[in-house]
Amino acid sequence: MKKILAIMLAAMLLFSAVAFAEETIKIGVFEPLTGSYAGGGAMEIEGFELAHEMYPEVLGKQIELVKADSKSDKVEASMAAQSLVDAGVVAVLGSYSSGLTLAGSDVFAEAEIPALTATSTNPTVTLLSDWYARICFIDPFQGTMLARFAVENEYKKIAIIQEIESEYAVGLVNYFEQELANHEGYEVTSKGNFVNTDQDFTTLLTEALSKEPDVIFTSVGYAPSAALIIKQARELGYEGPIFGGDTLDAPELYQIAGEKVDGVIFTTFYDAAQPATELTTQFLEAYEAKYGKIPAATTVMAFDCYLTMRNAIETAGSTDPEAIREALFATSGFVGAAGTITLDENHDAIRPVVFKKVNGDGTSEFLSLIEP
Amino acid sequence: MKKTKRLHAALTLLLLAIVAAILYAIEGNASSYVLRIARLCAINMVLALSMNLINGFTGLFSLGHAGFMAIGAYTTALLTIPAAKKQVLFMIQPLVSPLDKLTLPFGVTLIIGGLLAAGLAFLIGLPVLRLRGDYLAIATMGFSEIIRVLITNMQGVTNGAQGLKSIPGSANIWWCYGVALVVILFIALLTSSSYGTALKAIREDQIAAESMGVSLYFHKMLAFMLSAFIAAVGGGLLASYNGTIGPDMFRVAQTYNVLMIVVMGGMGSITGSIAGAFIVTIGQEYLRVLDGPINLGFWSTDGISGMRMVVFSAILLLIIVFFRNGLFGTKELSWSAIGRRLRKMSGHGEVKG
Amino acid sequence: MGVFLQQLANALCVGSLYALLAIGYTMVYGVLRLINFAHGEIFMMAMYIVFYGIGLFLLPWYISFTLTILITALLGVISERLAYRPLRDAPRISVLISAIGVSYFLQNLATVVFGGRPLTFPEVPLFTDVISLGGVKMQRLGILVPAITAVLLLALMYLIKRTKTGLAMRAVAKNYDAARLMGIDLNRTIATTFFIGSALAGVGALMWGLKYPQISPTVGSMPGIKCFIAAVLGGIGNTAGAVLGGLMLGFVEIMLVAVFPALSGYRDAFAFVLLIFVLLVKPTGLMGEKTTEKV
Repeated sequence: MKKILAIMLAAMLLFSAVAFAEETIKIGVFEPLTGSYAGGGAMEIEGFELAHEMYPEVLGKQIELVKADSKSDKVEASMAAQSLVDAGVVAVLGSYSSGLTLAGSDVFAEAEIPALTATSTNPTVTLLSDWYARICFIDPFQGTMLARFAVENEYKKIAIIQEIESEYAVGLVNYFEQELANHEGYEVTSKGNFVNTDQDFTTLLTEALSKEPDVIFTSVGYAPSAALIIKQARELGYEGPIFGGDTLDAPELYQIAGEKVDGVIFTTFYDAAQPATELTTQFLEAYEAKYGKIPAATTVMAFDCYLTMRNAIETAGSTDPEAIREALFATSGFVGAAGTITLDENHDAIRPVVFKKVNGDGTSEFLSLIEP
Repeated sequence: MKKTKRLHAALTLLLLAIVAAILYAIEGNASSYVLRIARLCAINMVLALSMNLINGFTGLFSLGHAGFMAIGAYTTALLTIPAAKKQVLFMIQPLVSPLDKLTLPFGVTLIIGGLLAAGLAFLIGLPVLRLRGDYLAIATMGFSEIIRVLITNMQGVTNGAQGLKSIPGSANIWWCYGVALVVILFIALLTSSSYGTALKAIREDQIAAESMGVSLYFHKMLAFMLSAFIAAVGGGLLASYNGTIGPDMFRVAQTYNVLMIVVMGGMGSITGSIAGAFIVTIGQEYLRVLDGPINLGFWSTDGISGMRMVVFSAILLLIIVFFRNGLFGTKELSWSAIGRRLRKMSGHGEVKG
Repeated sequence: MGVFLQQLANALCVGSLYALLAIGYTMVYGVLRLINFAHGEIFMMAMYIVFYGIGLFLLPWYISFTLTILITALLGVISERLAYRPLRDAPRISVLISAIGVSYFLQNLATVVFGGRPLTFPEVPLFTDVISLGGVKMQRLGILVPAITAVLLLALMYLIKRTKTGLAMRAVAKNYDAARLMGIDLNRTIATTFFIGSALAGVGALMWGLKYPQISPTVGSMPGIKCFIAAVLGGIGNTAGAVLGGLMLGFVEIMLVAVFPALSGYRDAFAFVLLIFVLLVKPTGLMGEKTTEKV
């Protein structure tokens, strides 16, 4: 009896495998679906899947998204990347977290498969690989803009709290300080380090607040840490401004810190209230219909990431990875939901940085848009 | 007796030849995915054996593996990345001289990493090896975490959180299996020598061993340092295999991963660790199908990410609880054991030792 | 001065949370000589249970909290029944590995069941409102947690020292076989220990969640390790020692950052340095009893 059951199960598995074997174009989705960056991965997946639902075809064939979970772990990431290569993908989208992107980048370069990341802002991602491109800005630009933002608002004494184990957070602070050094009369009064698993920031904050800063700059790898920092800063009686980079733009910030997020400012890639293109409205409606909430900037970027890659395949006119890469790197003036995408000679996108402010009820308002 | 010995030696050589032939075939034909899994198997084998040496053969419960691996991984990475790439990588703070210009052959860096880790193990072992059981486990785990935190904060040497990238992929299948073979032979020789007997005596009963004239401290230190050396070599292989390393790779979870392989194969069994490395590495990859869309006709899903890890950890837990000695226990799969089994199966001849 | 007082208050908040969790850890160790590596994961499950209790079933917080403590305690008993009891006669290392296995399994299970994205612990104003005492600001929790810890410690000491169950626990802690021969129901005593230990993890999780309202599958690992360090510092197996260890760890960590802000990145390493130092000087912790291995 047991044997018959086993054979039946095996037959079904085989059957299901056969059922999938249609002629499709496979695009790999390289994301952390579990582990500490799972939230980031999930936000990007939403964008890829929505875009895939709206534009499921290219070159007259169905696109099939093949997912691989990097478990937010660098060793798993290179294996996941390799499994995508093995699955026969012609191009790859992802990943959230520059560290994980970099772990896959050697594998894709070796297999000569073009890859496109939506939100990995660390400069080395494209510097070290001839097969990776991105549709977001890079940290030196973002850090510089954040510093200029502080200067514009005359925040002379700046307290920094950074996630010491996140390459993104440490890099951003570094570029911020480099730019700040060009402006006289501005200083970093304190610099506190924490790690991903830390949840108590009262000590760092008390120390930072004792220097009476004009502003707190939180550089975190992932929004929940920033939410806890904001919440605890307010509880310690700090009423001044708090700002941070693009990782703050996630629903978790408001969910965890609640009304205490009021007045927090961050950089991001686009703003929903300022529809950049026609596609923005389309995207927002489709997203609202499918998920019933306001999308994170990361999700919009992932949406654009898929479309940019699809466009590159179409332009290339074939599924030859080399041709796709050529078309991808030559992307210019492509209109996405979060703005227009043009890649420079380093295959980085040239795009503006948007400053936004969150209100106590979780809504956000547009502050400014700075072109590079 | 001599005859059987010669037969066993011949069989071992034959086995090695077969393994080499299989590797050659894989290298030529298999996809890079299979190759990658095969390499990871060998690296896990090295790591598992090094842990088995201290935890299985000597009976000292050490959880400091991730730290020693990190030493090896960073040594290899820093000494093999080409100077030009280093300049790109160290954006925040330049790499200290002379590391910024220095590059050495891969094999040499593995040994340097091993020696550094062994030296560090000596320093850690001096105070810590006096502790027993759980306390030793905690203290070694503590040191491993300290090493990781230091690596995170030493921006000018390790590049901190930015990690190291573009590590040349020298660890091809021959390197991985070559190192694994050397480690297997070394541990096999060690455990069958008088040192090995002393180590096992310590495992069975420290006090009895001491009263029989076994120098506890010397032998524990020896095992601890050797284990650290091999772990660092494994770490070096891992760095080259993966191409990217960062401090977050060397959390306690990394130690647990290796521990699971050792437990699955059997504490104190070399063949157990070898089998464990293959089963765990291949199993984890094979189970990846569970994460994807599953269609069983009557039930289907779009894919539940993380499902494979649930199944995998459940299987592990079952093995831990119901086969507490792992697949092999402290036994080895040897030619004489196979011979005995064959004779038994064919039904004639009494079992001889 | 104001800053120093604030830091002192911060230290008390963190330290007493560590202490609260360390009691549960130390209790299981005291009776079974088992470092329950899964304690942090039981703690994590408790946070999810509250989330679903209040967020999904809209229970009032006091009912949800009580239910959570009970369910968490049962979870602890079940994990003991399934993963530790079959290994009762196995070497201690096997049980320790089993504990690591349970923790691994629960983390992975939570990822699939509850999803990898962080959730938010519900807010209960009674605990989370901020009060100001002479310039020192903290949540009400800052006063409540030390009080709860003290009450639980006293209750636990009474239980262990004055009741029959406590007597049985102490007997089991000394010697399994002898305790069995004296007619003590080993399984029941150990199950009770796990029940209480896990209930304490539940209480700790509630307080922790109120203070740091973020829930994720890995949320238990850091408190797990810290409280375990606290338990060892105080002499693992000793309840009063655990409280002392927790407070000490909280104070040392916070004072390190307060005095040497540049070293804040080394905070976790420092906890371990402290631990190793204590282990070397006084291997069984500050208040642990001396044990000698029998021949």
